Amino acid sequence: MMLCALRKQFAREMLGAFRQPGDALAPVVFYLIVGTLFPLALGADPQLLVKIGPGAIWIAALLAVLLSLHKLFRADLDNGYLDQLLLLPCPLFLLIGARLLAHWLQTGLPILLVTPLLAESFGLDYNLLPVLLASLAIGTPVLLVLGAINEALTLASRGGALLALLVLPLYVPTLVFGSGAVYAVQFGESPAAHLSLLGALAVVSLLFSPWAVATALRISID
Amino acid sequence: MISTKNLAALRGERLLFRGVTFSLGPGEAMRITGANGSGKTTLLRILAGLSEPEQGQVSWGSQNIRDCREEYYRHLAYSGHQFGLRGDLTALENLRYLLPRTTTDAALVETMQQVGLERCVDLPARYLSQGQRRRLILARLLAAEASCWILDEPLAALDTAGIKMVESLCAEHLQNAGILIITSHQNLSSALGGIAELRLG
Repeated sequence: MMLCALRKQFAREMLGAFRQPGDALAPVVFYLIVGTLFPLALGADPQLLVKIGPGAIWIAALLAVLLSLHKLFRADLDNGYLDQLLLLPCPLFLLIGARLLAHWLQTGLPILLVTPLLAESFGLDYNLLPVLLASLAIGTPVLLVLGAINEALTLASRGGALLALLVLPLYVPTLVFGSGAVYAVQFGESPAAHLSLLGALAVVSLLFSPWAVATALRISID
Repeated sequence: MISTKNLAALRGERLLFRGVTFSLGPGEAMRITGANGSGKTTLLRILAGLSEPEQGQVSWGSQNIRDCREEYYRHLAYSGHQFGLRGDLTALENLRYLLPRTTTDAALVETMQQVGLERCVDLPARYLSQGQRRRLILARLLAAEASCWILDEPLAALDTAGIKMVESLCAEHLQNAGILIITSHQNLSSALGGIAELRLG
């Protein structure tokens, strides 16, 4: 019954995204737009673009994930499904885990897939692409789950601005290590230190966040 | 068996109710009545473990429901004011994802026929009327095979035939040794006559 509940939770979120592809793809479209506006606004200075590229791409990814957070629980709070989710005979943190995985596949994965396009628009060297993708692959789940905790906590207060204020400081380490890894390669150093710190962040946040989100949801629903 | 001891709830600073103590065993039912704002929904949410009471506790068997959530929720079916339906999924899909256990679509379609929704199976839920949504939730109740039903205003928006259906489903549920806790502004027919009543406010 437990596995079935998890499978169904995952399937529901994925099927919902396929039914509303415009809604599901909004964050990645936003990511593409922000990423292409930078080169347009900064003019034709290839060296400058190469320099700011990794940082700009990371900021665009962070904002895209932030933009996608409202889809996590809000609609299901309004239609009453969240009540039913809390009443499923399955540990809530596992259900949250399934939901977060589905959500990452809808936002994080598309972001990774279009990143080569953005790297191209900034004129980044091809040898930067692996580390850029690796840092985003480790970093976007962290951004997602940290945001999910805050989204669950602020669900009752309906505070969009509050969410951003609470979550942005938490995003700083991920942003610093993520873009730092790419810059390290650009300066001819090894990205290992940045990537391992990012990995440590990922392990801790992925392990604890489902539980934290579950607790926050129970409080918000009360 | 579901039992409560000395439940109290606040809304803001105002006391909604206190000292609510009862116990319901298999085949027993209770109807909660009271004016608007008297705390019926709050009480039901506390009984389902969605809200925390200010005081007192709810027990399933001999355990506090907070300590045996999974066991309790295996037996509980709660239907609130909102239906938990996602508009872009079809009625059948919504029904499928509201049930935690393994289900076959054929069995679910059969259940939907029982509640008169055979023509809405593949309709996105946003096209369903309020009454049809209610009926879909009835189908969920039937398919959930839960022994404890907590129903918040299950008769709202239903037509006469729908109301009859709810009443007969509830009567059948009680005959099968189920537990039923219900709020309703409308009088229930004699099929459910003689059930205990708890008046709030």
